[in-house]
Amino acid sequence: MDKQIKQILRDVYSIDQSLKMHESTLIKIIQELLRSKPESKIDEQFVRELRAKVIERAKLLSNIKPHTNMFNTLFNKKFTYALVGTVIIIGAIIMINLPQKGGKLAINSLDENAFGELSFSQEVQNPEASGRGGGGNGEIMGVVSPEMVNYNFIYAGDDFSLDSGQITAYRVLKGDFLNKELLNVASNLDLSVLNLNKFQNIKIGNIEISEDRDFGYSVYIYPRQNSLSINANWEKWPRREESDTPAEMLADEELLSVADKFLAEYGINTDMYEKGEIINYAGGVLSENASIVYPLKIDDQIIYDQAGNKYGMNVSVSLRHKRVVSVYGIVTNTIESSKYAKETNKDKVIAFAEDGGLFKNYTYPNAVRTLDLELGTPEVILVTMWQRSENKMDTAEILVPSLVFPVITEMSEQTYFYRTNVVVPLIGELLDQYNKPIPDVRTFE
Amino acid sequence: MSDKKVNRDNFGQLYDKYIKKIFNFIYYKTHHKETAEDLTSETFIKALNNLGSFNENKGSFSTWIYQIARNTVIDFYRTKKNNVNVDDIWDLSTDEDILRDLDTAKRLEDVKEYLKTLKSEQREIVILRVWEGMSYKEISDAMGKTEASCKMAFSRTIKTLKETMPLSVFLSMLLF
Repeated sequence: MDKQIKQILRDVYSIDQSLKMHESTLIKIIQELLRSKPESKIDEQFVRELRAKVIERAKLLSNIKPHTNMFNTLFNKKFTYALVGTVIIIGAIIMINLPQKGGKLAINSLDENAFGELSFSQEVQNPEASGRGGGGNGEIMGVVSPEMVNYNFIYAGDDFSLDSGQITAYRVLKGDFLNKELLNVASNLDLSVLNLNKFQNIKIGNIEISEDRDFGYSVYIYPRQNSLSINANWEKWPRREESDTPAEMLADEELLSVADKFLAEYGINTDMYEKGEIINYAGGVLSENASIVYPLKIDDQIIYDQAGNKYGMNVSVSLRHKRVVSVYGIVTNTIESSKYAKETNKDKVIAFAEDGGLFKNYTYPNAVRTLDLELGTPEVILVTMWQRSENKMDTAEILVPSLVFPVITEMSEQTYFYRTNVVVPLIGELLDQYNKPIPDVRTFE
Repeated sequence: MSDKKVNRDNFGQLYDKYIKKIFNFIYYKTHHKETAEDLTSETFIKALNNLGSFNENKGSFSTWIYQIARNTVIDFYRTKKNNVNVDDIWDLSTDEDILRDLDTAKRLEDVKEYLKTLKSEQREIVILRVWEGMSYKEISDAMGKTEASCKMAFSRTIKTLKETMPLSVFLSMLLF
């Protein structure tokens, strides 16, 4: 037996001797993990180049006198004024120019079928890729049952009809307004030691602006992705100690109040979102934080992810400190809309739902049992999905009107099944596309 | 060199000591070489820029730089998938918008479904103990935990995998 495996087993047995009786299985697990180890090939040239960069920067920083801004030393006071001005301007840009300012997203209405043939990721259809009986985001976890159980969806809701006509899909444009606005600022910046105007076709990289105070925050601006987020500046937060007792649980109202106050204090507009809802609150030793989602609304419709969970701006609150630790999903985009032909065949929609919807059911050939799960009456929602561009290099986010069928069968605690919804797109051509044969997932990787 | 002497003058030595470890740590969380290089660069530059805030009385340099690397990866994925609170690519393994190296994706094909069911901390211990071959002393340093709690967590992780990995995975090994 390999020396490393022997040592790992010794460590495992020192904690739990009962595992010794499963030694052959444990050896196989460890061998499998070792076999699966990714080949991490670090490029020696990268190591050398980064080293040179780090050393150069270290020297630069060492030459700066304590308590002085490094830019004072590097350039001059003029630059410092410019830098301070820039930071203020950046703040102003974020405050003034986000598309949601004023409470509504800008939605540009396009012609029919303007997004082309809708064709979404095949990978999410593939049961192997999405996890056995699960997969996807949020509550649908790729949890593997210790016993092989097959699940069978059965529609048990009220009768419903699907009118003919058209429905509106939306496309979320990444845009580059953050990049443009920052470029305007940067190109006018006089650094004295060089003229930025002479640089051509410049792009702004990622920007981090941090608060240098206890419980401070960092704002991360990613101009190329046109996105930004806020995170605790962990350097300024107390470090969690091993001896700390689990944080106390907070009442829902208190959690929501902490989040609401933070958003108001930092001027984050919530007009385009629904009220916050707590989505993940384990507490105790399981989690120090609680997650709150402020569901995004477009044309007064709430947006959901493909698992049927509400989708929008997420705020994480520390139970220990009763403070917000992160905000992400702040909308910085503009939206286009276009009409598509609606699916009118109710039987086809129900058959698609009973097949698992966007996440097809995986069927074990040797299942020990099959559980019937009833689906309730569906509601129409907007679901975020990703579409590859023709060159397969980019993806676009499309919001697709869909039916969400709730799983109404109650699960026992022993059942390793976490799906609460089944989602079926309401655009006819999408259903047809999903019913095409599934290509080998490896061709997409 | 003792990590307790942490300053800009010997940052080059710290870099030499940790560059491969941090790159591997990030690579195992991203599965993409170029992304791992970008995030490794970001990690070391952040560490250097914030060296003044490192306090050796609060923890080792190892704990500190791994924490920076961990946060850098989390920030990266938050921007990629900004509605989901994710620690690494395992939480996004069905997301086709994320780049992965083909070779790594193939190697992980049989076990990815099982590894992604673990909590991120459990995956991290598997990465450090089995893939990196680190001792519990090193792991405890990297994770800012005690050796005993790391051992306990690893043992529980192996037990979880024993209960969830089906026989078919082991049979596929025989065919490999």
